Amino acid sequence: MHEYSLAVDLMESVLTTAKENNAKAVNLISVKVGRITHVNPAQLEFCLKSIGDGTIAENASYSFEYIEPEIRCVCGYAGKPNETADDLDMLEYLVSLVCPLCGRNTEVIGGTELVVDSIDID
Amino acid sequence: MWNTFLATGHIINIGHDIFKENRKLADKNREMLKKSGVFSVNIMGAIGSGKTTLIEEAIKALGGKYKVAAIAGDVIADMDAARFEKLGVKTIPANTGKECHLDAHIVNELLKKNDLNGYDILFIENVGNLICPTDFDLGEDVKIVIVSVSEGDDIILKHPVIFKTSDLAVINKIDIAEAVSVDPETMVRDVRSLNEKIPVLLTSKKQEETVKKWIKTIEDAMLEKKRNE
Repeated sequence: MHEYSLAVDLMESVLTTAKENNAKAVNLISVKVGRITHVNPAQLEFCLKSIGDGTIAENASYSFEYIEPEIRCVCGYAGKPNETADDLDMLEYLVSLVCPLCGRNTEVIGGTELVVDSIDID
Repeated sequence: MWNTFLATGHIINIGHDIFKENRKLADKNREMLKKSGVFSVNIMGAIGSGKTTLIEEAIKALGGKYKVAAIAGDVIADMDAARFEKLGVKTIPANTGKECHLDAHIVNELLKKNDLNGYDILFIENVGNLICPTDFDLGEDVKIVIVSVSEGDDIILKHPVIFKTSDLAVINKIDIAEAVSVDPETMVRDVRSLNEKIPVLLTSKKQEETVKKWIKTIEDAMLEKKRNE
C-alpha cells in the first residue's frame, strides 16, 4: 500500500504548521480520510508514528474520521448516499452506493480526500 | 502548574488535503498535454494482466499512422520500456523506486523533460497493481483497467474502486478462459454491477478480431477528443 508515502507528506504538513506556530509539542493530530480512498487508517497511523519518532510529534495521539462520499446519479440526484453501517468492507460499501431516489448505481464525486484536519499543540 | 495536566494546548486548523496536491499537479499535466495536443491513456492492471502486450499491439497498429509515445512505469526494471522502444516509438521509462503506483508528480517531471508537442497518443503504463493507482489522478484523458481471466473470476469484485473509476475495462487472455475455469461473461457482469456505463472489451492476443477492436477503441477515443478540441 502507499500509506507510507502519504504519511510522509502528512507529517511534513503537521511539522511545518507546528513550527510556524512555535509549537513545543504536538499532542493530537486529527486526520480525515475519504471512504473511497484505499487508505487504511490503522496502517497510516503506524506509518505516522514511525515517521514522527524523534520529532515534536513523537508523543502525539491520533484521531481519524471518515469523510462520507458524495454521489451523482443519472436521475439528477447529487449528494450523500443513504447512511450505511461503519463496519462494511470496501466492496459492500461501494455496492451500497446506490441513488437514494431511484436505486441506480451512481458515480462517486467526493469522498476521495486525505486531509490533515487540525493539530493540537503546546 | 495544573496547566500541565490539561490534555490540550491549542488547536490549529490545517485542512490540507494530501490527495489534492496530486490532483492539482494532475490538472497541470492535463493542461500541458492539451497544449501539446496529446491524447493520453493511463493503463492500469495487475502484474501479468497483459498491459504491456496490449500497448505493444496498439503501438504496432497506430505507430505508422500517428505519432505515439509511451511512459513505462515499473518499480525498478526497464523491461517494458525496452519492449516499447523496440517498436520505434518515443519511450519514457518511469521507475517508481519503492512506490506501487505512478503519481501526478512523477508524470509531471517526465512531461517537463520530454517535449511531446505534436504527438497524437501517449500511453502511460502504470505499475502492476489494481489498488493504489486508483487514488492518483495523473492528468490523463482516459483511464483503462485491464484484467486477465487467469486472475480468477472474482478479481473484479475484489477490486471495486478501479472498475468504478475507469473509463474502459478490458478482460484479457480470453483464449485460456476454459483452461482456468473462468467464464468471461461472469466477469463482464461483475464489471457492469459496479459501473453500468463502462464499456467492456474481451481480448486475446491470439484472436486478431479482438485486438483490432481494442486498437479501434483507442483510435476512436483519440479522434473524438481531437474533434472536440
